[in-house]
Amino acid sequence: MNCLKNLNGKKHTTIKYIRFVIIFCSLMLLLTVPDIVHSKTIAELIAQLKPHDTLIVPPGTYSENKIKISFPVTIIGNDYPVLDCENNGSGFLVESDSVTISGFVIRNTGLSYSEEICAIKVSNSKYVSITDNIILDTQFGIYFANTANSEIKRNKLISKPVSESSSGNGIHFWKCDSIVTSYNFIQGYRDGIYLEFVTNSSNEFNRSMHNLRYGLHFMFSNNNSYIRNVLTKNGAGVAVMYTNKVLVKDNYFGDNWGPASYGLLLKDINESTVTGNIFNRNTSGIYMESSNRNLITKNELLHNGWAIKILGSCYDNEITQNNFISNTFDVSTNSRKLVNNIDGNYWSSYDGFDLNGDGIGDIPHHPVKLFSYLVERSPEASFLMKSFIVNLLDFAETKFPSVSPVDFIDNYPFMEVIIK
Amino acid sequence: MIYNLSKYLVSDLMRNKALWLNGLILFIFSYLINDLSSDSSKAAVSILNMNLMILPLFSILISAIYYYSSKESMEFILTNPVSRFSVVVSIYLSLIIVLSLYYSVGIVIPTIIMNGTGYMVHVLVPGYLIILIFSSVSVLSSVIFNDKVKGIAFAIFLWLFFAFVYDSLLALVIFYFSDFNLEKILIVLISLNPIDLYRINTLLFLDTSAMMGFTSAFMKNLFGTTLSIISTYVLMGVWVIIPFIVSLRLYARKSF
Repeated sequence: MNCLKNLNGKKHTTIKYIRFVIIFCSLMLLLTVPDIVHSKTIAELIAQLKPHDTLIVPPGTYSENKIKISFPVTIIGNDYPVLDCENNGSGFLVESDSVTISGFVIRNTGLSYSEEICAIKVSNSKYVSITDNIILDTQFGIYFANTANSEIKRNKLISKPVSESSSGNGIHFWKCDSIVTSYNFIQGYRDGIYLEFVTNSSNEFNRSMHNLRYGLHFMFSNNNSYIRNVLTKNGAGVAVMYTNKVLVKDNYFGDNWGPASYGLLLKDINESTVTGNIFNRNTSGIYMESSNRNLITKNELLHNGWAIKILGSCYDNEITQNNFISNTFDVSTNSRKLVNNIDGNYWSSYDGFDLNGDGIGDIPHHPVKLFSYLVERSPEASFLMKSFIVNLLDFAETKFPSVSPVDFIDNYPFMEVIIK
Repeated sequence: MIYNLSKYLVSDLMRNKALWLNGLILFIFSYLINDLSSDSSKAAVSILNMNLMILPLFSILISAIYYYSSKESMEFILTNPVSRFSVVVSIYLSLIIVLSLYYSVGIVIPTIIMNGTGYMVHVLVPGYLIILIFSSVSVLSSVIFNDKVKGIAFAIFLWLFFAFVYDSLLALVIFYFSDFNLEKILIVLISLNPIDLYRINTLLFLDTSAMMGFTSAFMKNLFGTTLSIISTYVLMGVWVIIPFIVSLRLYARKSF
């Protein structure tokens, strides 16, 4: 209307009038484009394809669900078309090798207690690639079952968590092999990334936060690597169980704070390497139970309640060249025997000296405080936390150890922070 | 009468430069703690530790010493038509006014200015109650003992008992009976010691509570947060009132 007023207010308006008509017509044309698109659903578009074709889906909103993909195909969303499942069920169901799904917004899958409802479910396939999708408010995000040689990259999964029983996992793997999961952002699911019976996979540069239970959770998944992930503010941190030969490298575990929260909980983890990670402000930085022959090295453990809790069921672990800085308790254990090696770390609580100047303290360091040992033995002792008598006993115990594990000492504590 | 008497006593106490020196030292401590702590929750724990240690000692000693040093002048005042009730009340009132003033200036105000987060309320406010409790306990012990040395020694013993001995006994109970379910008994035992009451209920509001594991979860479940605050304050109030009433009655029947 403004345009019209301006036009009326001037003489020689013919050219301007024609220009206005042209603009108006093209606007009308633009408005009609989505109508053309909506004449076909994604399922119909896929049905027209031959194997190994590429489909570029035009932008718009598609109200469909349970789109089956049963032959090799590449589906690319142009300008993020929205697949709205209207709380009726899963989005894409991939049941074929060599499928690529990229550039979609998939939302509102609804929830079910009898089946796993997911944005994208891939089963019994190989060479599948799920990239650059945005997945909002779904029960499960991306679900891989019995799939190999595939990748999940650069997806953003955001959900509103309700309860542990009604939420699913962000990225869920079951019985997979050689999967690459990288650069994903996962928030508000039950477990951020969940792996069960997965082998030879790598998980890199993912960010998993504000999940109800675990940021990362795996069981029975050997020979996997987890590199440079950020796992923060999850309900119970990260828990990994019943697995051998895992590489956990350069990750950030932070702000997992609560009565049952752990930066990294290792249960029955054997022959694995935990290196270069940062554990910042967790109730327990690393919690180890029945875990043997692991190498924990070059980690930064800062401002945790307990930096490392290592139970008596852990044998032959090598904990070396880590920095323990400003933790309330550096090490806690319920065992009196030395069966793990903790030589050669830096402890900010170390008060020894270095006469010969070789950078290594001359007197051994006892990182297990009496109080943390007592709390491990009888949890009611935590009633005495921050009481003077506890400080007094701790002080006496560091000078003349009688109760706490005598052998649990660092014989070669570093004087300065270890810089990699 | 209480007003006039306590006005005189307060101004007498305020003139004491040694007390101001103590206030200054408190101020320096709390300034350093607030300044050097990396985050406010650690500052809160340090302030709590300082309060637990210094406030009971400070209030118990100053109350006992001041009671004995003003004892004779009080007896002189009693030769006039002044009730014994108003004498004890005004001594107690002036002591808690002055001690609270030192606490406010030395710890509360610098902490609020430098680290004024919400949970500091739970650290700072019960400190006033600790002052009330230990002044009242100290006045009671001074009323009981006529001998100055005995009275002050007993006051120091009370401090030692509540700050150290009681917790050691608790530790013994925990370790000897760790096979039993001790939670409820421990909560009862902790309610009997004002310092423990202050410590536990403040810790529940700090990040440290997560490290108390299922103990803190248990206590939060048992009390609920508001109920735990109310019950703490009520129990601490009982600790103020009962020794004070007892000392009033004893002083009324005392023969000098």
